[in-house]
Amino acid sequence: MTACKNCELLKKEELIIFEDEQVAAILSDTPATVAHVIILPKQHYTILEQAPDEIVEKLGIVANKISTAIFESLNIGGTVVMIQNGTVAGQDVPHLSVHVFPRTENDELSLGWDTQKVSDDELSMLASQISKAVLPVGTVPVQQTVQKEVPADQIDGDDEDNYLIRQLERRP
Amino acid sequence: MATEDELKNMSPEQVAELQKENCIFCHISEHKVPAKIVHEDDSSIAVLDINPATRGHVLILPKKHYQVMPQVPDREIGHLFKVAKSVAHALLKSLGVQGATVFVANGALAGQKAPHFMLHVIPRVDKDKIPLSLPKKSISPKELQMIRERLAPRIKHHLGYEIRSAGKAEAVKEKKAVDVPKKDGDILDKVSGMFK
Ligand SMILES: [Zn+2]
Ligand SMILES: [Zn+2]
Repeated sequence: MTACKNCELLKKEELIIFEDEQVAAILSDTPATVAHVIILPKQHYTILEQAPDEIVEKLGIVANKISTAIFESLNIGGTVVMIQNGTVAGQDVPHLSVHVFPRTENDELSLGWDTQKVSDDELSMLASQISKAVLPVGTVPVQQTVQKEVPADQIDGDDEDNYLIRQLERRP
Repeated sequence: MATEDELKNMSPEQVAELQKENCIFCHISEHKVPAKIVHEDDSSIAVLDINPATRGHVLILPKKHYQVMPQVPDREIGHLFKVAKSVAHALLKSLGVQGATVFVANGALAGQKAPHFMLHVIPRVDKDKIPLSLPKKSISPKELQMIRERLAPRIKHHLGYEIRSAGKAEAVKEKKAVDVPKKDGDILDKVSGMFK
């Protein structure tokens, strides 16, 4: 039985480096690179679409400032700001988070992608499909229910069996 | 393109103007160059990446030219994240994908390819082999403490956060989306220098 790992992190004061009423920034104790910071809404939202706009906005602002702070205090070449939205995107804790971590020349991360060739016709088709589905900011319906914290007895087994993670894999 | 000598004699405003003139993404924002637009509002535009990681890869751009993220004011970064939420939602609905990666490469060494700040939203499906996963390395409590000591003063500077000596966290009054377009000469030189 495990409670939500990110709800647990929010209790680890020794790792918290910033918090206000809505969000907290936490030093990762399993970092991708040194000084990896995880920014979390205090309320338990599984994915981006569940978080209200004011929280999404706050996450962006805090991520930018933390990224800047990392720049200023460490001798690094850049930062990555990343949201893994859904298990297929590598999200392994069912609690929305923004990762901010520094990049250095020898960090051995392989982040990036090979580019694909897509024809102009196909791009036009995709653009038409996607643009019809993009809702103006402020009108994206809030998905699913939201809980303050997920109690341990509501989550069974390991991450693979976690109902919240399964819920992430919403198939059409 | 201006020569180095010409650049030296330019005012910051002229340099900014020149950067805009040479920026393909500024041209896209101004509709001077055609693009596959999926969303547009007063301050932002979202277009399909023509060299995508996968079909439906979207770039979200502020219309204003910012080279790197620290230059983007709070109100705008907040807005761009909200657009990312809309776009991620739209990708799930329209393409039937199962997730999305929201990604910002800040600085050339982090993989930033163009000197115009942008957010990538990349549609994801199971086993798509796009290498965007994060390793989990170990770190000692002592190292964490060292990082905290380095970061804390700068975080306090930007977010007004006080860390008590006992290490106990103290919440501060919420700072609601204040615009702090601080001139961070050091970082900007460091980061933008990579594009020269
Ligand atoms: Zn949680
Ligand atoms: Zn530009």
